Amino acid sequence: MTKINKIALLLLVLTICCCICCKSSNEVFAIEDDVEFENFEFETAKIREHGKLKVELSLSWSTEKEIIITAITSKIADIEQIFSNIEYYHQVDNENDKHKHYYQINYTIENWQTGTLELEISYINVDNYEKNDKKFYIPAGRWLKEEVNWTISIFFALLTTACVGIGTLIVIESNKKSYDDSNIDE
Amino acid sequence: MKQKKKLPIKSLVTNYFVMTLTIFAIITIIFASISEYIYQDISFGKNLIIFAIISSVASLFLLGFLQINKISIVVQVIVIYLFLSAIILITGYLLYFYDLIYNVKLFIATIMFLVIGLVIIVLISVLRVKISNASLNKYLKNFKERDR
Repeated sequence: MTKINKIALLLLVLTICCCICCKSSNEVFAIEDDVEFENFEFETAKIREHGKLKVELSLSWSTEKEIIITAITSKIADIEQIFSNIEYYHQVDNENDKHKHYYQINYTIENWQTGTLELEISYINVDNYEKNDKKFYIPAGRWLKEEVNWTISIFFALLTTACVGIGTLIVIESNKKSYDDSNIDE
Repeated sequence: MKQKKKLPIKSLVTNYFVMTLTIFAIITIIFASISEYIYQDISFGKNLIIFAIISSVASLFLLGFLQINKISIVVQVIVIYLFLSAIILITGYLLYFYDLIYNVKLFIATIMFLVIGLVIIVLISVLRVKISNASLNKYLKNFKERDR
């Protein structure tokens, strides 16, 4: 075999090896197929149902590739909540010959008073049916905490006591006045 | 005779409305401030109907109780104060204003201060009765001495 033929054969073997490595390595494919969530935004709203605190999250983002959202997993201090069969809003826009996919999900979380919320969105890329997950971290704000300290509790307790005391005096005085009025006429 | 019958009914009705409005006002002030500041709950308005019903029913009970003439003023004060406190605590518990899971401090502080308030209001009532009795006795004494 001539030198050139040997070099050509070596290059061919190296090329084949590279192709095999690329095909079998999941990490490389995941990075290529991982869909970027652009303009990711979230809004929070606190609601109370029968005394239970719930936080409504409204998530929105856009992607260049179409995806199917399969599940949302939320984790607060090792307590996990998984939701599948999620209803979400999907809209496609054509901008400059590019497809832009817009997604919006409304998601409710229970018992979130403190701690950072870890949100994992599981989705399938429609092009190659590859499953992937995207993680987001949403910190808890002061607005979530409902437990008040002793100073505030004492303030509201004083307000309650003052209102009850004044109410008692008003009731007694009005009853006394009506008794006096009826006695005067007799 | 007819005029005498009308007046008690009129005074009863007036008394009833005064009591209903008073109870409604104190419940609304307490729970509106707790709802707004602690829970940031903007759906408080739907509870106003419940407060109005509670106020009306509570006023009926109080009106019936106050028609009993042989109860001293101190006992009346104690009973009315405890009755109003019970209404506030039960309403707050049933409508989840006093949350015993996440916000126990508010509930405990409220009970403690209501007890302190009861002691203060009883002392004030006893003092008022004593002062009133003392001035009445002084007046009677002067009246007797004037006759002599």
